[in-house]
Amino acid sequence: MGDPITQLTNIVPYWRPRIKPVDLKEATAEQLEAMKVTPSDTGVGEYVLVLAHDPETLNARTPLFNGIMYSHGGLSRQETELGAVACSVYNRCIYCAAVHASRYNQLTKTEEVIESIFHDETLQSLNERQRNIFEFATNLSKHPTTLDKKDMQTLLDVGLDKSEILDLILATSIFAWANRLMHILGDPIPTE
Amino acid sequence: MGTQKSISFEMIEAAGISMPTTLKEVLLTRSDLITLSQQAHDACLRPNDPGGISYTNRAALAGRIAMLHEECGLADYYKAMIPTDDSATNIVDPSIALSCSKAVEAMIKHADIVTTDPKNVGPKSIRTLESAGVSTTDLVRLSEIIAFMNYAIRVIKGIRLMGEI
Repeated sequence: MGDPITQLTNIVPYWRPRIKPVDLKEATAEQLEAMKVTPSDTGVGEYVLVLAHDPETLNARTPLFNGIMYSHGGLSRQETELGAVACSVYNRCIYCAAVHASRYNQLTKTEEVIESIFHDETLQSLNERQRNIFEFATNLSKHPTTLDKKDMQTLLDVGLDKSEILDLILATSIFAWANRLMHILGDPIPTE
Repeated sequence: MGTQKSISFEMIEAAGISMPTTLKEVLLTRSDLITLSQQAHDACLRPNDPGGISYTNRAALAGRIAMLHEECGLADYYKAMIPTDDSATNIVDPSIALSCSKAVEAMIKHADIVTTDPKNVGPKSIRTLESAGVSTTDLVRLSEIIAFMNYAIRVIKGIRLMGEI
């Protein structure tokens, strides 16, 4: 198998764990419950099998992650993905960046915004709202102590309401978590 | 008659965030996610099975990660969970030199780098923890504690700023 990918891409790689995943055949009832495995289900991904070493946290994290990314109302799906991409690009989590960049492209049916985020520091293809969302999420990912209420005001000025801002904070922050699992516990490997 | 929704995430209060009605109204729109954040906090800080990372060391790691984000109130909150005569209280302050077992020292150094510079953490970091005697299971537990705190502190900072506008 190939060496880990080091460049940002919107082609989703294979995630190769750096530690031994739980063996599904030997999983405890608590681990199976946390993985939401049914008796006929054998297609559990390696990422979930790695996290199943700590079933209590996995059990709490999965509904939280899904709730943040897929709840109705508030920030649009595509702008939620933009927060996820910003955090993953800043942390250089190649795997998360690829998954959520490709979702963003599917949702918006465009590639210019992701292209610009990956390859153009001036973010030329982003409109004002996209740019401000991206920059806020990047700063929250980088070192959140540098943010102040001016950054909040900027988001209000480009038209986000407070519930959208809360969703952006949650979406960006959950990738401060996800990146620190994906990027630390495994490597992104080319699929071909 | 539905149950009254509430905001139940102990880190909000521990971080000293006041809750004006306007902020509370916004948070109530996502009260389910706030409650799930509390459940994740409990799974990381006081799990039924702490494995090889004691409750004291979990509190110490949480406090230290709060300090790395200049969240002194939160750091004090976790420090108060450690018995005062326990040397783990020193772990909370990153400016104090470490004097603990090889495995705990490796875990703390890992927490520091994963918190402050995750992009530069390579495969070697896992091997370092393994050779210090950290088991695979504890390695995942440790990763979750570090990653959760990095999530939660950003949520806390964001909520505090939302209260200021």
